[in-house]
Amino acid sequence: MYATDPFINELDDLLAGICLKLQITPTQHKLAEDRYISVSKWLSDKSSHFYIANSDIYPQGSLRLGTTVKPLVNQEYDLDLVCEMGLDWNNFDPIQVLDAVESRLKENDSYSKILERKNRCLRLNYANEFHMDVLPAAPDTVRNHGCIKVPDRKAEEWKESNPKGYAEWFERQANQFGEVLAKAKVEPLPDPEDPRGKSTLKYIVQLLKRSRDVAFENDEEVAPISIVLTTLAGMYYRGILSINEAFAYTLHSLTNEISANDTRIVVRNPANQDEDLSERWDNNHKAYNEFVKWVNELSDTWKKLNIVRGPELVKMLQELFGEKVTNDVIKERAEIISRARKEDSLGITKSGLLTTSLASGITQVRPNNFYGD
Amino acid sequence: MAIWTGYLRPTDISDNYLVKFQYAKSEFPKVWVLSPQLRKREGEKRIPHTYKHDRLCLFYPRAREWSSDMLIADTIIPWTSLWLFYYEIWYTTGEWLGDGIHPTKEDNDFRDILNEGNSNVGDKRSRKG
Repeated sequence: MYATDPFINELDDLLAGICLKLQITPTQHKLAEDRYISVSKWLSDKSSHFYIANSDIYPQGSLRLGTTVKPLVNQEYDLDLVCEMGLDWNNFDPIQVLDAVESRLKENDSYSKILERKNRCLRLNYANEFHMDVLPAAPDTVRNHGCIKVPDRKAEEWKESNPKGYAEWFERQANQFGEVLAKAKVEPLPDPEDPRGKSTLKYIVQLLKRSRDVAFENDEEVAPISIVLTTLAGMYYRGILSINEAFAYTLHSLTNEISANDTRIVVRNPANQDEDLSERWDNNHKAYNEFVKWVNELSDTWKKLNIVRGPELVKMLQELFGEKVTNDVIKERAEIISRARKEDSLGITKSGLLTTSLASGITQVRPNNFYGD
Repeated sequence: MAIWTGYLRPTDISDNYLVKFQYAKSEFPKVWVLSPQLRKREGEKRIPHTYKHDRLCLFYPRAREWSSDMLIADTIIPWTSLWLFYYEIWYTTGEWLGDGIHPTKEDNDFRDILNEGNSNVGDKRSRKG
C-alpha cells in the first residue's frame, strides 16, 4: 500500500508490473554479469601483452541504475561496461587506446566474431540477448571523484565522463527520502511483502523511457536520449512513493519548467556541471520541439488516465507502453483471480469488489460456470 | 416479479457498472448491464457468455449451480462481478479468461426455453413466463 486511494494502489501495481516485464530478467542479468566478468578477465589478463595494471571494469547506465527497458525493435538490451585502465591519458592517443582494446578482444575467437567498432566503444553483439558496449577509459587524476576520460573516435580526442559519480547522484535522488520512509513505517505500515523492492524513481525512469520508445518508434532520430530522461526524472523526484503520483508530479514539473523557459531547457550532468547532456538540442530544434510536444501530450494523457476506469484505462496504458506488455500484466492479474476461484478462495466484498482474501465480512464466491458461446 | 438495480465494480480500476437484476418465481434470475453499455470488440459479433440482448450467462443451468433456495446476494451478484471482471479483460485483450461451458445442441434447445424466460428444466411444454 502506497496511497490511501485504492484506485491509485491498483494502478501502481499495474505500472510496476509493466516495468518488471520490461526490465532485464534475473536470468539475463546473471548472464550479462557472467559475460562481463569474462570480458574483464580477458582484458585484465596478466599474461597478455595488453595487460595494464590497476584496471577497473564496471557497468554504467541503465544496468547499473536498475532502469533497463527492453527495446521495441530488436529486443536486445543495451548494456554498457566501462573499462577504466590505469594509464595516463595524456600520454596516449585516444584512437590508439580504442584500437588496443579492439585488438585484444579480437585475439579471443568468441569475441572476434561478435565484435563491432563504434565511436566511443567496442560492441559485443550477443544475438537475441543484449549487446555489450565496452568503453575504454582512463582516470581523470585532476578531477578525481569518479571522473574519467573516454576516447572519441570521430572527434579524435579524449572526452569527459563520470559514470560512477552519476550513479551515486541517481541513487541519492532515489533514496533521498529514506528517513521519511522509515518513519512512515511505524504507522500506517507499508506492505511488508513489497514486491517492488526498488525506488519509485527507477520506475519513473522506466516508464518515461518506454513511453518515449513507443511515441518515437517511427521517428527515432529525434527521440530524447535516455540519459536526459533519467537525469530529468532524478532532478524532479521528491520522494513520492506512488508510481502514478510520482509520474504525474514529474510530468507536471517538467511541463512547468519547459513553459517557464523561452529557450530550450539545459540538462546538465549532475556529476559534472560543465557537461550539457542535452547539447544535441542546440543544433536540432526539431528534436527539442518534438520533446516538448511529447512531454505536454504525455502530461495531458496522464491526467485523463487518472479519470477513466475499466477498458478505457487499459486502452490508454496499451497506447502508452505497448499492447503486449500491458496485456501480459492484465492476464497475470486475471490468473490470480482465476486461481483463487479454482481453489474456492475467491471472495467478494459488500461493495462487490473481488478479493483473494476470505476475511470476515467477505462472501465466498461460489463455484459457477459461465455459459453460452 | 422482482426487479432491482445496483452498482458493481469488480476491481478498483474497473468501471462502475449499473446492473439490472430480474427475478420471478419459477424462473432463473436474469441480469443485464445498463451502463456503461457492454461493447463488442471490433470485428467480433458477440460478447462471450451472453444470451440474447446481452443478458449475462452466469451459471450452467443443467449443473444446478443455482437453485431457488439460494440467495441472490450469495450467488448471482458475486457471479456478475466476476463476469464483469473477465468481460473487461476480454474487451481489452481479446481473451476470455474466465472459462465456461459452451452449449451443445441439446443445450441450445434448452437455451431457447431460457430465452423465453422459463426455468422449468427440460420441459418444453411448460408455461411461458
